[in-house]
Amino acid sequence: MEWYWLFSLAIGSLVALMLLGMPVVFAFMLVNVIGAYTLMGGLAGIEQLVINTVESISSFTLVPIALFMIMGEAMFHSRIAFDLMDALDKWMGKIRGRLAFMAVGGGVLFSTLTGNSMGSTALLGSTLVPEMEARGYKAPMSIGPILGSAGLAIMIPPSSLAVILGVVAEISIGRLLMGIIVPGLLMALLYAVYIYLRCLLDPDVAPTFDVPEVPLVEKLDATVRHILPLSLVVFSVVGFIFLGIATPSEAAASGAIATLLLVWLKRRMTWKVLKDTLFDSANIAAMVLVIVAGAVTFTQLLAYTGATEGMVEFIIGLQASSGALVLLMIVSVIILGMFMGPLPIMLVTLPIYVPVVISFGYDPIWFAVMYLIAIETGATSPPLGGALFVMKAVAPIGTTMSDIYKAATPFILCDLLAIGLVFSFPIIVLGPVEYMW
Amino acid sequence: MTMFYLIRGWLSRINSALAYLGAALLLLMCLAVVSEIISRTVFSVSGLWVIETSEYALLYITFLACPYLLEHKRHVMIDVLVNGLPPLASRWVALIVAIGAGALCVLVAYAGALTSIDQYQMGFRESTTLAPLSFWLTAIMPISLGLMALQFGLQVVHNLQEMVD
Repeated sequence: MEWYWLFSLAIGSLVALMLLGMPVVFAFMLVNVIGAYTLMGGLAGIEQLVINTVESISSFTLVPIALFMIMGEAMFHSRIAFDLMDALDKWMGKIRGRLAFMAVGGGVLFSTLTGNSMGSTALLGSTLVPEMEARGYKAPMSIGPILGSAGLAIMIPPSSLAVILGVVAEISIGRLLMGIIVPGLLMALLYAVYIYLRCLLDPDVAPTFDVPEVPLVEKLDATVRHILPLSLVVFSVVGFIFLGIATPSEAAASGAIATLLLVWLKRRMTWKVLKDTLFDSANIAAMVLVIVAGAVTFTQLLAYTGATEGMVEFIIGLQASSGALVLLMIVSVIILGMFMGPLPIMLVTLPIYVPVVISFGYDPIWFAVMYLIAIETGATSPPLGGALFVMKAVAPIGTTMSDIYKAATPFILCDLLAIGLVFSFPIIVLGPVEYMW
Repeated sequence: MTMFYLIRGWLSRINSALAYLGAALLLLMCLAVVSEIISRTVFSVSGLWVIETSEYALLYITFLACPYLLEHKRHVMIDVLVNGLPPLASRWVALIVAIGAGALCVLVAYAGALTSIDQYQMGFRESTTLAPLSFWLTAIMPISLGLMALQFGLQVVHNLQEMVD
């Protein structure tokens, strides 16, 4: 059978099963089992599949996925995340768009602690939206900044999706975690600039309100108590990787222990906090890992049939510039993100896209960063981006999906601008990576 | 239906117990990796067992939690199309998916059990530093898939009951 038939059959049946509501892990497993049975000698093929699955999960490079979860869950269950918002609140003076700027600041702070953008959306939404509503903020300055900023969780380490991308695409996770930092901060800056300009041109979207004067001593106290200790957590992840003290997998463990230590030092460590943190982390990690295992096996199957090679040769042979093809791949990720979750998109497209990018001679880290921004953009894009529905759940009663779509649009444009900047200036990504130990 | 609720109750307890075991393993893995960083950085001594045991722990954490995730419908799925269907059609699709996925779990659990038994009888070991017996690693997969097959079986009964009602 020609490669394109095998390719269409494998991808087509996978997508069809997912659309039928079959959990993603079982969709991968079914396609893998059929492939292994027909191509690898019946039941013996399925037995080989079992061994491959066991081998693909027992990999030290996947360890951060489980351990990064502990950081975010511990911050959430111990309510340290809420302290962060209080500390940030004290520093914000009486500026127009105050709460929108807080969303961006909170998004950046949360993203240093959690690798999950859905969690950030829920957390920022539940802490900020009620006050935004009470202060008369309109959707573009309440829902929009939260949607945009929460997505930074995947753009600033620790980022679980970056680790998954590194594993599936077989690129250095340490370099990728370093490479996403500047683009992540660039996105936060673009959001802040947009908020500033929008408030300047359309003051009604974010009315000013009186804020009690907070003495400097109180501000410093809140900073020392709630924000400064986080540097310990950030250093134990990013610093350890940057200085070469630990591999990304080990740094995830030091970050997790640093977070638990912080919770303990703040006297929030109860049996319930520890139990809920570990239980939820293990469950979320298992949910992700079992899909990754299915996807890795699926990738092996595609490679075994020659479908991957055929597809790569086909794309390379297209009469278009390599830059245009890279952009086309990024656009396809955004479009898929409007309908599907990040994980299935990554696992289906990366095994095809990354070999193509490498064959063009580009640095895969540069592509991976644009890919992650595209994933984030897709998650906030109408009609079915996942973050939009989390936002709907925490938005004020009466907020329509149309309000959320409109509020998200300017931040999607900021994301597209960020992709454009990274595409035009790869140094944004590759600069910090070159300084790694 | 008494038997149904009895089995569901027991299965739920087993699923929860395994998921908590996975959570405990996660903490142990985390502590082991940090101890390795400290040991290497401070005492220049590296424990070769840490990476390998962490890999095995990750495998166990994943498969121990899977049946619990299935029971609580927490596996990632795309429900856009199914949610848009009329209620009856949606139930039929859910029933077919549960039957298909359940049969799949039975098949893979069977293949996994055969593999584990083979590995046990032949005394296969992993070609790693610790060289554990391979069946200790493989066996968790058929156990987990077996539990998930039972879970899907319960889902089928539940869906049929709902359709009859």
